[in-house]
Amino acid sequence: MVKCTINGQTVEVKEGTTVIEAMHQEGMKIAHYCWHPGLSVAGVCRLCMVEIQGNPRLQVGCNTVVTEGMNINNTSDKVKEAVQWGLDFHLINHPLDCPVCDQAGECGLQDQYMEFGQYDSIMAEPKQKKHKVVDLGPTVVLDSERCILCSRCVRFTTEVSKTNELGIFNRGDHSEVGTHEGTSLDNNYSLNTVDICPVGALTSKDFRFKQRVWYLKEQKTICNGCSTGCNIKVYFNTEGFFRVKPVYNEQVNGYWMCDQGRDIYKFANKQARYQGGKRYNQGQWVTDEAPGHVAMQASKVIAQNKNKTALILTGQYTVEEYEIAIQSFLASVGNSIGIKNIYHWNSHISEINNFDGTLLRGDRNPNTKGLIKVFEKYNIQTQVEDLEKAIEAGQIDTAIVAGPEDLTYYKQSNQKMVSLISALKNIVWLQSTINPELEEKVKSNLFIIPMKSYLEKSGTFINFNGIEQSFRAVTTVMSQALTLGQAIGLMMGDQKAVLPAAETAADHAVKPFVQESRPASQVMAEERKKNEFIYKRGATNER
Amino acid sequence: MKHLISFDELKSDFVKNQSLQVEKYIFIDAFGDQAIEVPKDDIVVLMQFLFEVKQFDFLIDICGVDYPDRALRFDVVYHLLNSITGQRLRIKSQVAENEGVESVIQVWKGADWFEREAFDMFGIKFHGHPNLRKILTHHEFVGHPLRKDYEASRQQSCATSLPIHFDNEPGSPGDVLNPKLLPLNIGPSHPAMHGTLRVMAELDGETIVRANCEIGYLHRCFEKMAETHPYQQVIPYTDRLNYCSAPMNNIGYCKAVERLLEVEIPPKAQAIRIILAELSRIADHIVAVGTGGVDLGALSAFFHLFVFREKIYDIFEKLCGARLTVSLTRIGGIGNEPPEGWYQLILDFCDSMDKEIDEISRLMLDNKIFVKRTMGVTPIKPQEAVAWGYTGPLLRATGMAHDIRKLKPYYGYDQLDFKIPVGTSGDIYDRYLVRIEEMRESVKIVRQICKNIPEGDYTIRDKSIVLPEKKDVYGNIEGLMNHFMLIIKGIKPPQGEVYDATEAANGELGYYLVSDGSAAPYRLKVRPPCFAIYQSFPSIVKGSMIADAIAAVASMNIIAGELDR
Amino acid sequence: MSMSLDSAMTGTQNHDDLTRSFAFTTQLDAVMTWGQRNSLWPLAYGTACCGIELMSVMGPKYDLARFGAEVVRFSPRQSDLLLVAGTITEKMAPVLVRIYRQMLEPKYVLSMGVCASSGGFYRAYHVLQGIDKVIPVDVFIPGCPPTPEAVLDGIMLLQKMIKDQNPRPWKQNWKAPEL
Repeated sequence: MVKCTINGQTVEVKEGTTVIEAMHQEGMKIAHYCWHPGLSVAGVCRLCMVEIQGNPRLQVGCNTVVTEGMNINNTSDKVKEAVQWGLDFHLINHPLDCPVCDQAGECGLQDQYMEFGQYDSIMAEPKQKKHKVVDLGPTVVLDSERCILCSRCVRFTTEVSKTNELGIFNRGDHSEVGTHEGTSLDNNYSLNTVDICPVGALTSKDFRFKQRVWYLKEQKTICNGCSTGCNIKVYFNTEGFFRVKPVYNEQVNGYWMCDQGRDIYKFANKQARYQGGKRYNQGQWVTDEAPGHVAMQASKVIAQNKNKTALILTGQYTVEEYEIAIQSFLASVGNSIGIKNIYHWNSHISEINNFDGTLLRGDRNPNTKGLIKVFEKYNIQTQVEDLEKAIEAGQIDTAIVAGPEDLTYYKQSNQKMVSLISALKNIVWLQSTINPELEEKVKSNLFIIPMKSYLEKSGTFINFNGIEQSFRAVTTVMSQALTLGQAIGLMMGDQKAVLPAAETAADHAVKPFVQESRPASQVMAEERKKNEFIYKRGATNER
Repeated sequence: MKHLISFDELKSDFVKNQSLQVEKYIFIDAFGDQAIEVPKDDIVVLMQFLFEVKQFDFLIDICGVDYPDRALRFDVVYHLLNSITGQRLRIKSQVAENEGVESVIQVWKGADWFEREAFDMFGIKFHGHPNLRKILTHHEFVGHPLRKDYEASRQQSCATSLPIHFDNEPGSPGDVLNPKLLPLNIGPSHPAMHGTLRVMAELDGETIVRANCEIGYLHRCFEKMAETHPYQQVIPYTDRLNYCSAPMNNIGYCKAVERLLEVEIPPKAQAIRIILAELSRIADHIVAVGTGGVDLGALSAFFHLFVFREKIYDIFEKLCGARLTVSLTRIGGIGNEPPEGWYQLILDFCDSMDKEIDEISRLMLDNKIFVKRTMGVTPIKPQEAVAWGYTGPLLRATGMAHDIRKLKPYYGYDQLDFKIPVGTSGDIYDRYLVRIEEMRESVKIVRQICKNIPEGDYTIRDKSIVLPEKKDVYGNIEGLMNHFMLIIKGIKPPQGEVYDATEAANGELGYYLVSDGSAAPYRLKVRPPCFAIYQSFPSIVKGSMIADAIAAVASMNIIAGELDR
Repeated sequence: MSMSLDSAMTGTQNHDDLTRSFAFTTQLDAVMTWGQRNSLWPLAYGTACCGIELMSVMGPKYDLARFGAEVVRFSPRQSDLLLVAGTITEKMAPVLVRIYRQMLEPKYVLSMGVCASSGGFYRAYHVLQGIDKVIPVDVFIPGCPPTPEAVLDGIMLLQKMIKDQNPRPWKQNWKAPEL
């Protein structure tokens, strides 16, 4: 361990740590653009200047290794002036794009100008023009004028995704980031470059122009795209979820996440969800019912067919929910027939050990291990093949299926499952997102109960490695939707719908969406409602 | 030399009193304000002591602040003023949600409505208060709106109005009407009720036996809006407080924020702020005198005076583009440089205003009918006025020469030559006399300044407080980024609290600003001058005739925007 | 339309010249609306800052009297134009409805300023988000406060509406609340 003094504070660091790493560890502020803890050192931005005692010139903090007894200072006037001039040089050709740039509100230039700059500009030359909207690939757009040539994206494609797609071309004033001849930025980790770009040069096609950053709140949670369980934060406001960014976790995902996980927020937004429960009975659809009500109807049917009811679970729900659901199911249905009719539906069972080398795993369910753990607790060993046999043998009449959130990976498996159970008398399907296949194919007595997305629940996922990761509910999108524990509890006739242990005061402290659950006082009084005139645009009452 | 009492002196005096738990007191001296945090059981004894012995004769304000994360959730904050030395003191006390604190109405009559408002907004109970019920929100309103868990836009509708009711007095509850007397309801939609005031009276013939006023018809939730908007965005809300003299509210607010940020604005900005304040004072007194005359039937004065109000609007319009709700000041100075010829315009206005004041003087104050209707009507003694919390022209009409511009001068008022007009009996005639003389003095002040405008910049140039010039915002990237960051992230003053008061047209307009380091104020309490004045109305008009009650309301110059906020 | 001097002197009339006849023809509606729009008796319901600007509109510089709206009556029984100027709070709403109901037909409502039209920038717990939540409105005048010229423009628009007999469609559907 090496001791040094930074800004008057004594700091002890490991051998080989650079100045900027030491300052980052201690939480001290230093201006920087090109350094990133997950990438190699470049030393191109020249902003992380520090004054080291005994050295007449200022040194860069990112490439200077701390030695014993070093006295480092980055608050003196000399350093301040150097940083201001450095910022000035970075901004010489920077376009006045703040009003249209996505990065406004989280922009490195804006933040560091207010923190370290605050100088008057004396730049009088016209600015250099470069290519503005360059399509780098299927997910990322480049704006060369805004680029400050920190080379983080280039180092990323070289070191992390190892696809070597980006580079910096031309010299001097005409330098631009671009893709090598014949390639495009088309790998499974391309959107990480958007995260690490400190300015608005690289922007995500998905999030571009959708929402301003300061209207978004963020909360940390776990990705449910695959069994790695990368730590992420979702950005949301009362209109819905907007984007997903990775959070550093040393054990699980490091600094990065894959592109597949960037889409998970779409399955929690209102457009993709069931707005109300549905029932299909003898050719008639009854739609827009309260989910609890549908569950109660289903419970009557199940009560008649208790011995022939099967519970089919995917690995997409939290451990706490599984506990409650299985406990409640077994208590009510019992194992009087000798075999517990609970089955694990995993669409990717054959690919469970696939790994793409960086983060993405073949098993697209976040909580397979969690489900297996609960199965072991209750000594359930059945597989999906057993389900097929049981249906053929006529032992199953009613099926309760807890479906997945993201149907894109379950496409074929969904078709198979739907056709498998379409022969049964009664089907209760629990899912948060809309399943069109189900609604078309199934012709028996069908109950569809909308579920809460995992972003609205608190719970635990266990990843492929056995690491338990807990997360808290972010917000509520569908306040009437049920959790697995509640749904199964209601269907087993338990009127008091047991809440999973994790869904306690912490969840009730989460503020629901204003549209879904406005307090009565915010709704207009009855007579005001009667007199409200809905103005139809284009109506020709005016002359 | 005024002797300002230091904390050591106070502490030694407190210790001599056996019933005070001085060891629990916390003495705070920050941002130039002195504050003491005391346990709530000591409040009444302490207040009595400060009032009688230490001569803190004014109870300026009582308000609450909500800290929902604390066990003792509410802060009850008292502001006191010693009118002889000009020393201010803040006493704070922490109260839990279901407990209450002893009312100080026994020490100062003027604590009445302030405590009712704290109860309405937070739910803090004041034991011993005879009338602890809602004052600003409507009677069907459920909840306490200024608590942090009450959402700002959660409206609650009201379908009925309250029947005629009075304040509880010993022996006669307020909601029981005397069947022998005639109940009369005036307002809130009434020509003489200056907008939205409601006066209820029980008459014996024409004499008022009991009177009561109901306010809150213009409660626009200014304090909640201030908590949900960044500091700069609160300035247009302050405009709408006393809308007759909008720049004065802006100046008061910006002065408080600047004290919290510990910046000093340049001398030119100070001079221009004084010009704007004095012109608004003239504008406000024009409305007071004009509409006061209209209420008594004297319409000509109104039409004469409003010509001059239009001239003042012209002056404001040349500076910022708006006539009435101007938002002229910014934190750090004023909004923009006055155009060419602006000072000359003002000097011309001053000359014509002088002549007009003479004319109005003759038209109204020498008019026999006016004299008969206002002289000797509802007089008030200075001690009673101070007990109620009167400040401004109404207090000066009683004979007390109390003006913050002379007591604790700011912005260079001490270098200017002007007098404080003072009345003798506090009756309605004296109030109008004082107002008209004050207009004269204001003209004098404006003339003095316009002739010696200091050189310099009209605003400070601190990049973390003041927006850059437009040529920089559209011209270079640094200006654009600076502008962006100030608008998105806002100004972030240090944590702390400050109380700042200016002499507005109606009296002492104070702003109590609590900051938690974020971009919006944590709590902004406005101490409106006419709130303290109007609470004395029921007791003042007892025994006079109904026509005198109308004249009294007019003379108090109650501006509902300020009263109800 | 020329008159020869001798016919004026001799008193003979050109019977095509209606300006010298003792009667002229028109429609009853036209006369009625002419009278209604040129003699509006406003009830100046001024609550806040717009109330002060309303005083300016009625003042000598921007004279409202030249549009016929000189007689300001504070009693709803005697006026026909309810000029709501200023913020209406939830507490004031029942009072406003009562005043509106006490007015006699034909009656018009002019909402002056953004606070009366939509709540203004007070999205708050005690402010009515527009008086059209409780009474039917004919003309909305935006502005905070609107300049007196804007108010005059609004009055002129109302006059045009009266002339064209074109009330707002929601007016017929408005039902007074049960009391």
